Amino acid sequence: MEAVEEEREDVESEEGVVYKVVNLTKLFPIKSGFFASLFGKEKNVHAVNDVNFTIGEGEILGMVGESGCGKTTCGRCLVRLETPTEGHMYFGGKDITGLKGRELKSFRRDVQMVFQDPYESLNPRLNVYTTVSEPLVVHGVGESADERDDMVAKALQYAELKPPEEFMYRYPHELSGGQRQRVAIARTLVLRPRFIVADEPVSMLDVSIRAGIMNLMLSLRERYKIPFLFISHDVSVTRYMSHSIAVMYLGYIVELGASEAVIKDPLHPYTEALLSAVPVPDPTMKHGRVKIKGDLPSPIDMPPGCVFHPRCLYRKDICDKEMPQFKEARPGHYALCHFAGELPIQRPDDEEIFEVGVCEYCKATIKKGMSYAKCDCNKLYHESCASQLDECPICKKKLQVEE
Amino acid sequence: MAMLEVNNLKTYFRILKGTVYAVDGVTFHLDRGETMGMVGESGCGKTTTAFAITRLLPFNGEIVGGEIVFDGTLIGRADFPTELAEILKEPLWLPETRALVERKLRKLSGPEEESSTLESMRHLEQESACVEDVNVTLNDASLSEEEIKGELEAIVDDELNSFFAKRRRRRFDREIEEKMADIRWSKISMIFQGAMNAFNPVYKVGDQIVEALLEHEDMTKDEAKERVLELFDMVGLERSRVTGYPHEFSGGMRQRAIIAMSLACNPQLIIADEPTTALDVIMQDRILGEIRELQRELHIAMMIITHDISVVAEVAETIGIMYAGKLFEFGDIVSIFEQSANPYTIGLTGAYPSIKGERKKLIAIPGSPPDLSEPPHGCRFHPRCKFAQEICRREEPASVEVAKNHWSLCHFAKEIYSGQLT
Ligand SMILES: Nc1ncnc2c1ncn2[C@@H]1O[C@H](COP(=O)(O)OP(=O)(O)OP(=O)(O)O)[C@@H](O)[C@H]1O
Ligand SMILES: Nc1ncnc2c1ncn2[C@@H]1O[C@H](COP(=O)(O)OP(=O)(O)O)[C@@H](O)[C@H]1O
Ligand code: SF4
Ligand code: SF4
Ligand SMILES: [Mg+2]
Ligand SMILES: [Mg+2]
Ligand SMILES: [Zn+2]
Ligand SMILES: [Zn+2]
Repeated sequence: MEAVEEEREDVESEEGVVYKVVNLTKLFPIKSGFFASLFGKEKNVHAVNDVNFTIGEGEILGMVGESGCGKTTCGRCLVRLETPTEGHMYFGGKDITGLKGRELKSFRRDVQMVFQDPYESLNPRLNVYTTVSEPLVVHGVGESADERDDMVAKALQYAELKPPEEFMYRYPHELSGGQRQRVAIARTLVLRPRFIVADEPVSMLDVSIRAGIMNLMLSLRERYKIPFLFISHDVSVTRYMSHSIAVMYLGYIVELGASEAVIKDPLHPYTEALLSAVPVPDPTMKHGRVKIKGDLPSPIDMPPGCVFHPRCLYRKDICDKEMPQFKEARPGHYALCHFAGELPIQRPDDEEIFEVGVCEYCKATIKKGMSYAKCDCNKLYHESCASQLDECPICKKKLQVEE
Repeated sequence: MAMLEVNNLKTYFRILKGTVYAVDGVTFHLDRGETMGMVGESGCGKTTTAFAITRLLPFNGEIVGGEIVFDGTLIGRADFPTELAEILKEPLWLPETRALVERKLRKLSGPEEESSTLESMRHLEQESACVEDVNVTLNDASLSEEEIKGELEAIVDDELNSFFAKRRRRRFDREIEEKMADIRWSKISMIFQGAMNAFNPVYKVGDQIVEALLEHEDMTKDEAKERVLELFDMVGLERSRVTGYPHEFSGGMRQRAIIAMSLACNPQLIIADEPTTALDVIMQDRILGEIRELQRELHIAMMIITHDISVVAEVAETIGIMYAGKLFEFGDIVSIFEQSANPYTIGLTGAYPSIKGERKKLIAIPGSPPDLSEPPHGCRFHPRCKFAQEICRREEPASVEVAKNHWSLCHFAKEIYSGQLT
């Protein structure tokens, strides 16, 4: 990984690629006490780690992961609200990683961000017209007031706030949550952006309204071929919205591929666990649960080797020693795992359930094919957990590994 | 008789510009050991229903109709004049008043009816004079409708303001409150929305649960401490955490501690308001799994309130779907998911994405939920309903039992259930 150089170096514009991200890393230094900074190594929050992806013409890339895994930080880097610590970002073939001053301002005209909370992202004292026309004023777009009015009206129409006159002079408190989010979208559209980052744009909305906003964004993409980075912690929503999906864990993209491939045929053990935890709106469907061990580690002290190894069910000797490659295990489908493509991963639509039971010690799933110990008291233990325990903590019998 | 019976519950809030009709005629029941999911969009009255059941309404909230019976004990009810006063404000006051009076008279004359209890009988008898007055006025052929209304308003006004009636009501309220104080926590416990902050930050988590135990159970401090350790085991928290402060707990751990607290007194019913909404999916799945296991082991009934219909699909046996203060559909969850008899439920499920099966196009429900201080006339869903007819704008639908253990609030419930209307 090279540091960001002052000199920019543009890449050959690849066919149809709008955004290309290479080794993107963002660290936030922790302000520690004076003595700690004298003696200790300076600590960082590893918000985004060595991330690579491309977004094509009219493509929606979905980004999923648990809270704090670095989705928002990644999105903020892409619109340059954050400057990356390392790596490069190419927009339309042009390196925009270190842009400053006027060039940065002109770049920001082309890329827009929609935020999560429709109640906070709009200024309560500004009416819809002022809110939506503000970017025009900031960037000095539009020759006359008439032209600007026209652009605002069009943007409101794109966001399906029709007729625009009816909404232009309303204040946020006079709008419903869904309408507010439409205003926020109109505001991003008014400059005719070439790329949009939507950070949890529907998470705060009620179900009946959420579907409308999602369909609106899909139709905008359809009509104007605007590519999106769509960030959400909700896997079902992300599947609905995206062509491809990036699964993030502790700042790393651990899996990347076409949306249906990632959902229907996941490669990474973390994706497996994530998908198995997603509730399904159908009471007759039972699905295999794959529970992983422990909790999310802190992004300050990153685990060595594979970042997922402390929680992984398939962990082998190599995993805590060597960092895995981002491996293309299937065409166009990547995973950050030494054994990508070789593991017996449970898929959401599998009829068969590969779960034997839950380990009494680490509370994670024991899957078919794994060696485990079964105590006389019917409790199950992973082989590795049994060897740490020696005797069953419940009935104090010696544990024998079978299979 | 079911363990929890909520009959025609109405709970309103008084605000500066009028009244918020937050819960407006909700009927459901919950059996022992059963899990019910209550779903609905934000502001439709889910939390208010829970507060009415546990008698924890804020000062401006009041039960103005219906009754709540838990395990044969009346724990919530509006008295006759209050209920009548609200009915008289409605356009359909006459038939509703008749229905109310008939119901009261039936209970007074008949022996034990389905949900009537000794307490409610006693209270009813005290009201009987007023009910009788109203009945006479209603059947006075010499009066015009306008005059009847005027008379009734006068009776209600009198009852609500007379010294004796006020004193009687206060006494009755106090009786219910005393009963509820025994029941709350020991028999019905509640996990509040946003409970992540339920613990006081300056005291140790373990000590706070010990305090709660000492207050509600007859045990010594040592017994309570032992019980807290057991509870920590039960919900998968390390015993050493009892001496931890709330800020040292992660979101998932705090949620577990709250569940431990709700289990402390061996309740028969837990009402959990959005228990996992603030958690990530993996943690949500874990906590829901643990709740379900504990519930099965200890045979506790549970009412899970959430806006996420898929969470309910994972855990519940019965489901209630609320919209704008009304229960639009209630009953067996499989029946409701597979063969809904209600346009709002159909709209809601059609707007939900899933990771299972094919990717299907989602259909939004146009418009947004109403402001409950001015709910639409007729069916409250009519401005957004694709099945709406003239009658829906005019008349409120009644609840229809379309199949065993399956009710729907819609003029066309039967037609939709049978597939005649799609
Ligand atoms: N300005 C900052 N200074 C220090 N740390 C930060 C800063 N911004 C983010 N972080 C940290 O970086 C990590 C990633 O944060 P980020 O907001 O990108 O997560 P996220 O995936 O968007 O989470 P969520 O789903 O909760 O929105 C977190 O550990 C967060 O605390
Ligand atoms: N203390 C209160 N005073 C006035 N209105 C209230 C109060 N609490 C809730 N409401 C209103 O009552 C309705 C139902 O609220 P609530 O039960 O919290 O809904 P939910 O839990 O389904 O989101 C909403 O319109 C809400 O604004
Ligand atoms: S590299 Fe090893 S620890 Fe990491 S995900 Fe793959 S199997 Fe699990
Ligand atoms: S009563 Fe009418 S408006 Fe209400 S849900 Fe039924 S069809 Fe729709
Ligand atoms: Mg975020
Ligand atoms: Mg609520
Ligand atoms: Zn184990
Ligand atoms: Zn044993």
